[in-house]
Amino acid sequence: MVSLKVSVNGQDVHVEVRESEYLAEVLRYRLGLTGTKIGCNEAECGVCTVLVNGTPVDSCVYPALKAQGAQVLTIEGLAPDWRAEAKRRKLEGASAVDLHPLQDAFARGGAPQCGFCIPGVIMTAKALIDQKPDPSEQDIKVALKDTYCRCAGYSFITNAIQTAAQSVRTGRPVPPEPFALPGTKTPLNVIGRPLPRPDVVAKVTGEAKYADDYHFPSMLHARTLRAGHAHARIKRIDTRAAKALPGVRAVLTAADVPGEPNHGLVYADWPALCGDKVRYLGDAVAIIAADTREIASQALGLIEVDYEPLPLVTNPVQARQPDAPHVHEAGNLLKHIKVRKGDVDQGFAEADVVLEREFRTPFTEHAFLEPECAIGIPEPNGRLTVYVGSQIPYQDRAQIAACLGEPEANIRVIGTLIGGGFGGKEDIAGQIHVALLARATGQPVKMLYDRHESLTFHPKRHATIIRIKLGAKRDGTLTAVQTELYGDTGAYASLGDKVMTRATTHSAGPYNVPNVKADCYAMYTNNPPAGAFRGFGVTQSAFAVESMMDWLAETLGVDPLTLRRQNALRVGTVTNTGQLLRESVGLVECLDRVGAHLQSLTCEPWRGVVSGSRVRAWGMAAGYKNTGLGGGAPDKSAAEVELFVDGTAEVRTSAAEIGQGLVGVVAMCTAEELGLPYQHVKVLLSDTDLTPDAGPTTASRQTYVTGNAARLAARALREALATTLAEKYDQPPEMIRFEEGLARVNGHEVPLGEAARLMKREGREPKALYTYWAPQTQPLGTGGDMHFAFSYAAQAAEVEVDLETGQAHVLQLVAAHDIGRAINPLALEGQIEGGMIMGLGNALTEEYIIDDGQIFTDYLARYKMPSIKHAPKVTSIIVEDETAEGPYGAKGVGEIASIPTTPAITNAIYNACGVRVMRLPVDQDKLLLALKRGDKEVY
Amino acid sequence: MGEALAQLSEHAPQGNPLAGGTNLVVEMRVGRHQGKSMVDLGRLKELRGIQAQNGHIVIGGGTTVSELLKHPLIADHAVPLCQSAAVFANPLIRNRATVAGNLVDASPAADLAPPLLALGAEVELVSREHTRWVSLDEFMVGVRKTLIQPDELMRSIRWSKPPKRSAGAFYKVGLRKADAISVLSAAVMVACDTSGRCKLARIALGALAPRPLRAYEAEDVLQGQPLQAEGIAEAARLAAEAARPISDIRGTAEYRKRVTEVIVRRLLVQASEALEHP
Repeated sequence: MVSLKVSVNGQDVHVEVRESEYLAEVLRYRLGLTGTKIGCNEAECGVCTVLVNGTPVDSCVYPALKAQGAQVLTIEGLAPDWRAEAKRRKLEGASAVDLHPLQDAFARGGAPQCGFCIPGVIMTAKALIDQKPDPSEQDIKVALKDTYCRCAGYSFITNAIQTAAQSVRTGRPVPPEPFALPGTKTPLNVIGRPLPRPDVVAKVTGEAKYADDYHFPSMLHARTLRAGHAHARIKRIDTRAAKALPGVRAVLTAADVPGEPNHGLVYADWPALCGDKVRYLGDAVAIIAADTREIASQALGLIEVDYEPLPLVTNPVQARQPDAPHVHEAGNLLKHIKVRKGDVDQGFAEADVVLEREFRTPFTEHAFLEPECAIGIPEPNGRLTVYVGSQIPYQDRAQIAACLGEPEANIRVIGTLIGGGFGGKEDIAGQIHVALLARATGQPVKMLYDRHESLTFHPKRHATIIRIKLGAKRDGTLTAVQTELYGDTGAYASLGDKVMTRATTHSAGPYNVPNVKADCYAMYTNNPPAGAFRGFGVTQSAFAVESMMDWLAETLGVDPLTLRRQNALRVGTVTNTGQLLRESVGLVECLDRVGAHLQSLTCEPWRGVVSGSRVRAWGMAAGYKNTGLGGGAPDKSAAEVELFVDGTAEVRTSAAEIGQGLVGVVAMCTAEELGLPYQHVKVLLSDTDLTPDAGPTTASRQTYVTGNAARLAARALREALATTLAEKYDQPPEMIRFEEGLARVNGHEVPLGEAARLMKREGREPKALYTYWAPQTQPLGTGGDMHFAFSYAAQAAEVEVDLETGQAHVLQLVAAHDIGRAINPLALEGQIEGGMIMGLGNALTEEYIIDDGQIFTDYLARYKMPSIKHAPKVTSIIVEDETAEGPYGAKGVGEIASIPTTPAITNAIYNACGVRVMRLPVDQDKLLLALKRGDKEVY
Repeated sequence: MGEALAQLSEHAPQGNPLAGGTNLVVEMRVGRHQGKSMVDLGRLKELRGIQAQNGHIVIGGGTTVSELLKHPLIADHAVPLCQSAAVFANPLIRNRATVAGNLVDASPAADLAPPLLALGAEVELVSREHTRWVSLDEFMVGVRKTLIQPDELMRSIRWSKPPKRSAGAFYKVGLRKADAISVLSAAVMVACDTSGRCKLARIALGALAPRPLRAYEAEDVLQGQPLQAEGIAEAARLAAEAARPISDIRGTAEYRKRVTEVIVRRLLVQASEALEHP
């Protein structure tokens, strides 16, 4: 150990550190300054940025001893630093300043979504505005290049930095509503207003706690031994040497799992620890808890495992061949999914034009910036608590209990804030392991994955092969669509069945097609598992069908927007699965509004505009995505609302806040119904002891189901209050008005806190629990309503292609989304822009590369995702075609925004250079080769 | 400085100079360099500074990429280096990464090598016993191989101030799935006499061979000729011929060769336009 003397946030600190420690670790784990996050340990993502002597550095790779004698500024020191400066500059109200203008502008401007990147982004921005007091958009793009925000709120970040810079320059406070948002319907009291999310201040100050920010006394540190073989039989595991290492408290293998050996969200096929064989590189073989992470890591290397390699299944087509090795005993077919409507043979016979092609999409990685972390704590009363940032806390509880062989009531799962999920935090990561180790050692145990492990282990977006045949009459009317999909679900089912079902049901696009036949084979392979990822299979099939729609338009010589409009789903049409759409189908309006906007920019958007060796053109695509689980799955959510005598309320539910702003949605619904100011509603999320089950945070469902649960719980409470007040003040309950935190009853103004007191006096609790059941849906193949709502979108992308290098860049995006009703236009716009930029990455840069079961993309440096420099100008149009059953008319938005972006971009590339992209992501290399050869398609 | 050299000499070959640590530390974090002793150069003032001396620009090996970007001597006398620094990794890395570190690391894709080759740079290697200057072109031997000895440090880098009527440019092709490292890069430096004939031409290529290299044959065709489309096209073609790229996950050899020609041509056109409109 060496003594490190350093000034941190203006205070002199002496701390003993090991020579091998990094600044981020010292700040977080020795000094408790957990506002500085660690995302990759590779200096790739920028979330760990702090200032050392005023210069921004990646503290995750900054040797702590290099900071000897230096001045370090972290997010926690930013506000005090500003207070000192404000005082020195004699700025107005200096002593009352709680936040640095950057923090203030980020909070008011809605820049934080999941919030995990925000401390790093703000510190990078601080260094920028210290250097450049009036930064241009370009300055910001340069300074923040590679300081990633995976929620991709880049335009919000840019606006917030410029707003803050102005405030610092002038000393004037940050304006309350810093910038303009797309137009939406006239707001109600609360609903429809661009309000900051309740957790936003914590997210800009570094106080927001994610799983790794928790520390408990005598906590042990755990690590997982990963297989390192894609397919092998385990002959022998010897843990003696690891157990003998001083500081090691437990080493567990499959034999130590007391309950169910497997977990899994739909199929329990995933061993908590592999005992007989491993099916992909990231399989867990043993887990270790030790006094320190270093000892646990050292012990990993002491476990001896003998493997007998088995032949590999590397892709879903090979997996389906009769002689393919079996990944699971029952074979490699997870599910054959069928969609049938009408008679496709007849449909193709009626067609004047029939087109057929095959498309491929790769595995992609969520790259949420917060790596997985879980903490297990044995409680004195014999129960066990697990802290985890998970999208499905109640199912975590069930799965932990099953593997432990204990009743669910023994387990409490506390959901922490989540640093991005995007579907990647639905499956079990370390939850079961920390529970097993906590039971084995009797001590709290933390399991934190590093980025390498996260990339290796967790489920990806399915790689697919999609063959699509499309028939149409000369006038453009679609007559038949036939698709065949192969989905690579990897070693375990995860949500593969559901994801590929969605890919299949949506594979003919958001169109009215009389004859549809779709067959999908979801196959096991020895690749990493594939599961949920924003878009849930529809991202893949939309790329195929929307590419085909453009090709059809070209073949028929009609405008691609007109062709889509002609065939678009609308009220009265029937989907591929036989669902009659009775309301809330805003697709035509989306198409029209995007079309009108393009008209205002150019009269021939699809025609390339040449400038030297570069060509620009627009392309477009449409899409739809269900809200909710659908397919007959019971879809319900519960929320409890309690009113306190101080006039504030709390809403409790177990939906997960993954950056989408759900915490704000439930607060707004509650405030609206109770007539309370928004700021008076607190939210408690995701604690299985304290908050009722809201089901999984998936399928764009939470605004709809949990928004409704909160709304109806609040309404039930309001009605109960009204009953109490009616009696006391002698007025019929329906005459009582609830507004501005008051009940107006018979000439009296009763503060709600007082109303709560009255209820208590009557012996009634001023709280209400409501379990909301979404409308019943029907399983695929039975006809009827497979889903209770759909969101729709039309998007257009302007792309520039360099004909001499094959490089393609997106210049701007125009999009219209029908999301029913904008509950919070600020959070909504964040979701929309972020989703589109994720779609841009899906089109141009993102590919999780696996070669013969070996993972190439096992470091973040090997996965390119869009940074601020890729973020184009976005014009967003909100269409609010309300759905009757949704809260205030709202439908889901989480996924739809990222669905049409990819084909809009690839269609624009075709319009620019005449080459159709048949495989994602766009490869500049192959594109150039195709251009040189005169090929019309690039595979 | 003396202590650093003594430490290196004592621990050779297990001593490893550590400057910004942007490569070394990241490699250490994934388990490489175990058992080596790191000799921290971070505080050596002798390794810092950018100066004009006797017709040369001399920069300390420990100069960070950010410092290059901010210094007027670099902006005035090393345009391709300045352009390269501007797109080097990202600002946080630029604050830490040093010029000597980038050169000694000897990645075929080292971004600072092509512009320094185009400037005709030399590097100064010092040990406890000696000081020697070698041209950067000789210094770089192959993939991760250079002439530096385990007891030596790269103290400084220098190049002659480019003459009047000269211009240079740098470009790298990136934005590709899978990796942040450039697919290829190129730098050019040209100077003309009063009659507009090229009297100096250097063309350097990165990520196109086991080490960054000069395209001498391409340079030769420009010598003594006015910088016009035909000569430029021929030089670009020869530069692409000089490239010996491999196919890897970042790009195919064929792509790299083809785009080399495009980039070198564009850079030469850009430089010739800068000469016409200074």
